[in-house]
Amino acid sequence: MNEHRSQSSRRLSPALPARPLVLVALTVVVALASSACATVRPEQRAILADPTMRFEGEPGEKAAREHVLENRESSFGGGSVRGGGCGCN
Amino acid sequence: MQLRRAVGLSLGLGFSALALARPSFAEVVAADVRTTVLFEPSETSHLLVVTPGADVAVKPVDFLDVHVGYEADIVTGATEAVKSGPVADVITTATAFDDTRHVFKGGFTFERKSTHVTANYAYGMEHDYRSQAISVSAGSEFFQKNTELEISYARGFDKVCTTAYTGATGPSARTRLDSSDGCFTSAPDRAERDIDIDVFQAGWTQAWTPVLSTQLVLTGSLQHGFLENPYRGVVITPAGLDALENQPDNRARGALAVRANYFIKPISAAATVGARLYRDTWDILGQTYEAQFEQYVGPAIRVLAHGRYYTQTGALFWSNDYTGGEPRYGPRGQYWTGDRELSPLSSVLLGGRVLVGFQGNPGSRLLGALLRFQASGGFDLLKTNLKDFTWGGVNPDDTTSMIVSAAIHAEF
Repeated sequence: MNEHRSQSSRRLSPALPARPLVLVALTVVVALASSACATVRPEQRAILADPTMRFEGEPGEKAAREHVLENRESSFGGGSVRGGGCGCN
Repeated sequence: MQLRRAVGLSLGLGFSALALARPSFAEVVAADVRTTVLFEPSETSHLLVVTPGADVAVKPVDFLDVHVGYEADIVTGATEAVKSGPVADVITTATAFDDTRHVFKGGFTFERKSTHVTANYAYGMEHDYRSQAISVSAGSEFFQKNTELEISYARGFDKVCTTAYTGATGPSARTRLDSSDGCFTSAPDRAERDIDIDVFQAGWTQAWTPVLSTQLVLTGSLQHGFLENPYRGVVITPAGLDALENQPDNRARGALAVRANYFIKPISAAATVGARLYRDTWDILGQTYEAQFEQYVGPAIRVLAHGRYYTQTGALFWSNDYTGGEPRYGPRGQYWTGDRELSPLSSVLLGGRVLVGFQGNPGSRLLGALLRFQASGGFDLLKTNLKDFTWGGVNPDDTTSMIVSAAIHAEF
């Protein structure tokens, strides 16, 4: 087993190949540019400010569930961030 | 005994948080008290984790939020300490254990018009693990608040207790911990190993119409140090010799998640769908698909149902049996693990929650004191399908998890 360890030549793979990363970056740039076209006026934001429309949900409850899931699988990240609801002007 | 302790701790936290939250000088004081119970039934390796927690937040001025919190993980169970493949002369038995993790945290948020900055610190301790984490995040809104961008960075400085092997000890000669006795003391048969964790995250939330918004989140993480379980041994020879797990010291992880929220006006309900793609340098590819539906049942009651499907490939060095048959110079010869979360698996989660909430206002407080009050209770069932993992050739029976949660939120 030690011999196998010392002579190993195979390398672990990179996280993401370069081409998909470029594609993701391009998609984000195009989408961000198009976001300026979205015109939801402040007086139309009542529903967006509703608690059911918050991506982060109830933060304590969500954190507890993510804590369990992170210990039951290898994936990590991509959790909700705050945003999606503000009725303010 | 552990459960009684957990219930006592939960009640204590609740009363303390509510007592601390009585308004005396601050504009708004918010208190959260919650408890989550995770139970995994099994004939040999059951697990019970009770997680009580409490947070108190104060807004002394309208642009500043200061918050502190406490959380505990009270763990009781039994687990197999040595992972073997289907080797006839190795008998796998479960060892009972219990431990309590305490986490103390605090931080503040500055919020002005369209911008917010948050900084947090957390310190965690248990018999065999110490952790410190700092995190900072900043966000801003653009285009009449229809676009929100947020970036964050977190850094973890963790220490884990292991047996006192040195750099000169070959991985196959390293032994696993049999208990946490002597950890974080000067005991000669114990050592501390570092784990450094960096997490970078960027999020973009976009309102497209008065009832539709989307979110895109990109996360990158770097881990360096002792990433094994110090208690777990793996059988690495046909004769049944086991050694401490041996995994790479570095791991880079990336995740991209997209989700969309749509409000269905005629039935006063919000529907959410989401997907996440995960990849890391241990060659694990994970995919997550989620759906959620939350509906108002009267003005004060919300009912939520959600489902989640997850699937992942195994790590490049994963094997159910390290005792032979693997490529001589391959990653399974260099590394070995008994971590079933590194094996190919899939899981399904189904659950729901009921929330009751009441909203007052400064001129008409609920019960003369509360600006807002809500209570919720939830239940989740998680079923995991291990495609390749066995304990000595036997499929584990602890693959069903039940999660029960209860929470109270009050603002004064």
